[in-house]
Amino acid sequence: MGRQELIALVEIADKQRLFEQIVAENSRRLRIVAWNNSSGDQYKDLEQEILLALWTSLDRFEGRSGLTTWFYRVALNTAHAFTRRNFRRNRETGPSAGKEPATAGNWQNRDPVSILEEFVHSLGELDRSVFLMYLDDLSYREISQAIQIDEANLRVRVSRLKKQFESRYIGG
Amino acid sequence: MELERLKAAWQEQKFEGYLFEKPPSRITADVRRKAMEMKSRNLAEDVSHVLGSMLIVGMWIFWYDSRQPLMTRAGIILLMAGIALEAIAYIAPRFRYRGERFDLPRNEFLLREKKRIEARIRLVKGSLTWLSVPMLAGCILYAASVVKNMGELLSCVALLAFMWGIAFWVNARRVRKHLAPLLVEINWMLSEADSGLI
Repeated sequence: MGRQELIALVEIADKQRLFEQIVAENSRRLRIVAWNNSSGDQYKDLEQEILLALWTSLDRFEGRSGLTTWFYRVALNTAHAFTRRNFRRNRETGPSAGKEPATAGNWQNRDPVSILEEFVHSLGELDRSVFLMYLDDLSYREISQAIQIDEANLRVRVSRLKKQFESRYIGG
Repeated sequence: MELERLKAAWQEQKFEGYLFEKPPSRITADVRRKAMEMKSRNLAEDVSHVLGSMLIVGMWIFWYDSRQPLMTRAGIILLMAGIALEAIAYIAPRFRYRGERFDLPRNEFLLREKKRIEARIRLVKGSLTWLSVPMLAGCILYAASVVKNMGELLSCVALLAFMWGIAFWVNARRVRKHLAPLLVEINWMLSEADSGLI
């Protein structure tokens, strides 16, 4: 076996190990991103697309950002490309289509996750990404690195999202 | 605070399915296999596009005969040049924008997507305007050299114009219904980051 072949094998083994680590640490995040950027059973296809995108992008991972930040960047870009491809269908049959919107009066009787999902689905692409990472307890620094927007802008955005949520559901 | 309580519930969600039932090593093996299949599929598509284009140009070379009248030869040469031009214009962006760069920061990713869509729009529009000029001229010259009278030539030109018109309408519809809305959406997404507004 030549040196180049050996190096290639070591690289493949390293890549596989790193990918396994990414999958193990981020499977919950992957499901949440896929579920909240698709409709119906489409999340399964999106999950597969994100996994494939993570694998093909892994060769370019240089470790400049954390693995979580890098994961979110790849997953969200893939999800938004997927949404754009299917956007007409999504608008007609989105996950919140046909559901009674929660209001300040009835939100307490509902499942907290479904309320947050409804809110997430009502947001534009960028706010949705920000809010998903906020719900995952990422720091402002990590969120701003993942989507590369200014940290001050991000703080304003998160604050407005929280207010928007509270005024819509909690009546605050 | 209520949002914090909801956030805690969000973080405790329980999931099931492929990602949570299979070990990461198995998922990695599946993804690796799919990536290899995708690579082979892309390669097969590239080869078939290049070979297909070469085959069509080759067919017309076979048709070419130096003893043919000047107008026939000119028609065939223009047709070959037109087909080659269309093939290059079709294949070039495919290689240039090969693979999506999902690892890029959001705005860079969107700008790349935008360029790719703009290139597709240029190609779709160009393939039936300036890119089609040599092919159409070649068709007309070739037809003019083989028909017996002006009536037949006019019929050929009318048929060509009809076919070109249908193709133009189909392409214009594709741009209007599919590509242009994508471009609008990407531009809107790009401006969304700067606005800071919800």
